[in-house]
Amino acid sequence: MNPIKIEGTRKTPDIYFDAELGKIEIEGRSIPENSIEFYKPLVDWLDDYAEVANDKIEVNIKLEYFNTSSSKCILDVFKKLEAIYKKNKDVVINWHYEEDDEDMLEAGEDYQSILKIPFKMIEMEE
Amino acid sequence: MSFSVEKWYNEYMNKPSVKYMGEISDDKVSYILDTVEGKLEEWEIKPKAIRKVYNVSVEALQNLYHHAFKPPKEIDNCSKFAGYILEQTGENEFKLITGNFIDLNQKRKLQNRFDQINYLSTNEVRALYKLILNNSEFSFKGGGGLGMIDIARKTKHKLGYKFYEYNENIFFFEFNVVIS
Repeated sequence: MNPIKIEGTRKTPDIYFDAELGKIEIEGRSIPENSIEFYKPLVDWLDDYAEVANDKIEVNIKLEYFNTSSSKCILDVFKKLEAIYKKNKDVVINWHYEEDDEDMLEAGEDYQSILKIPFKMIEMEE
Repeated sequence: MSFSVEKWYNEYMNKPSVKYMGEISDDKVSYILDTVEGKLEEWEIKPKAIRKVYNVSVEALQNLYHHAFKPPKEIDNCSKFAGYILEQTGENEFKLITGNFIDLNQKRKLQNRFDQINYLSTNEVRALYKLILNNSEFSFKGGGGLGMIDIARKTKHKLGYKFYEYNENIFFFEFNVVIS
């Protein structure tokens, strides 16, 4: 499977999805007006990846800002990863947040409570 | 005396502010957000407050982008028209105000929506946010009202609103919230 590598903009995050390495990374700002358009190829990629997924998958989410329309799309990405986890794969979502960013921590905790997949909350120094 | 949008906009003149009134497009939303970010850095606001103001501004502006109506033709010819004002009211305290034209039907819906959100406690607002987030019926356009719930959640303040009658069918809707 070809990896996905997308450079971030003022409104969209850096994306790095690598099937061979079992790495999924979303980093930066996710505030596009049309989030579905941006996230659909990523969700489709994960559908294909589910068939060939590595035994161990590391997911790193380091978001500075995300809007409410992205929040739903990010949940869709996580639901695909949850389906892979249910196939007995070792999947961990590393949710990074800056040390005084309680809103970002709470957002990670919300996803954690909705999904049945291991989350690791990682505080970063500013 | 009938409502004047210029008068409404010019009321917010005294405090340090970021102001915009006119057409709301994808590019204009980006322009306002960049201006807000630049000003907050210029005012040497703490990063935590910058994040909060930026987040709330994103939701408020994208709400306007998706829901603002065509204004009365004597006001402007554009398809979507709105005002955005960010005032610094304290060291790390701000008031965000937006305004846009709506019809009578929208007025009723908005009033109900805001009263419902304002009735909830902080924990109930968070629970409602999660419920809508995890509901597949949620409209991506923001029809689920997630944007306003997110603002209530992040600011932990009640959502303020006012309706100014423009004529019997058209109202000017002002939204305001404190960010501290």
